[in-house]
Amino acid sequence: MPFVNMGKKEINFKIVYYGPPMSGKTTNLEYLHTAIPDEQRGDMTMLATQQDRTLYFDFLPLESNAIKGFTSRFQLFTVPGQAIYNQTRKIVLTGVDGLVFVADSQWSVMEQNPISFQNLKDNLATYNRKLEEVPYLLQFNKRDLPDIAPMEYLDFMLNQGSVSVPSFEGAAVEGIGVFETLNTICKTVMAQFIKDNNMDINRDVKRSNPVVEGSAS
Amino acid sequence: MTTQALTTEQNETIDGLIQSILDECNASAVAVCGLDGNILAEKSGVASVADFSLANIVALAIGSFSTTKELAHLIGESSFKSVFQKGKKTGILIYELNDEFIIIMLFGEKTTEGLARLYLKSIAPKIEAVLDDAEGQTAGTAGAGAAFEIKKKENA
Repeated sequence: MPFVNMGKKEINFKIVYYGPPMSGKTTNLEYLHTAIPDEQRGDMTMLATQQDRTLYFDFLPLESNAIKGFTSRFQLFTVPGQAIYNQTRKIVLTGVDGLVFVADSQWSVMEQNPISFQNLKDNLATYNRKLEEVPYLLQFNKRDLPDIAPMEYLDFMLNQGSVSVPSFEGAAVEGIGVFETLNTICKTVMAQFIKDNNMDINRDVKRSNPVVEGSAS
Repeated sequence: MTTQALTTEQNETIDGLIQSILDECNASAVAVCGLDGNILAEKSGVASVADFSLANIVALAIGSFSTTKELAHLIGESSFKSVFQKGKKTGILIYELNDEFIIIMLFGEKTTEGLARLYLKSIAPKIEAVLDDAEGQTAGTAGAGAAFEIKKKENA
């Protein structure tokens, strides 16, 4: 849950990138780490196996002044995609404020997407939470590769909740869709935070500056 | 999505308590954080531990403690109260406050480990009391009022 420290004028938000193995969750964070100016981000921590597969999580802290008078801190986490690491996925989901589901667009691994999506719902249920109650969006990654499913197919497969959520095309390795995804989830999380605190200024959130901006192409 | 908040006074109380940990234990840095990753308060006694590196240390410490907690469950314990690691020059002590919060203390050669453990044990109930008071507190009840305002586009 968001944490507000009135003494320090800080608000902390936790955003988790979830999805099937090798879908590009870590690549999203790696791109952000290279593209966001040093003063707006911290070091990136990666807990990976010798084969560069995420073992526990990746972590990247960001800072923004998007909310007047407060420092907004966004803690970005990824989870390990491999099925055997479900316990660690559950731990990383503790207190999550916003979710990015990174789907793999390739036909060859298509069946992994709904499996991981259901796994996300199941793991949230262990905290008595429903996906529909957590701000989330979809990124259909690897759009730069051949043999990929149409966006409409992925939307049909994964965007069938009671409310349709934003979905983005991504080629995270080239940075395509990475900032759009991040800024949208950050704004969605902030809008939810403000709504929960009885201040309905969502209109202003939509008109607001990007929460973070990058310099790399 | 509920919100958790500390008032200015609660923040000052916790700041004072962790300052006493820094002073009494000769610690390098101390942080109070939630197992969800939120840093409630932190203080550093050395310039080399910058905010952001502390954020990374906290993320890893939470991961480590959460894993240890799951291990405890697997062998029939409710939790392990602390996790302790010591290197050649620097060590880390993680101490559980309650089910949701921990203290993380980084220390160097000047710290007496036994004393540090005892001191944390004595100070923990005082921090827990503040956190108990803050339970269920929202930004509004913590004194934010109508303070939250999203910055608009500069050219809007």
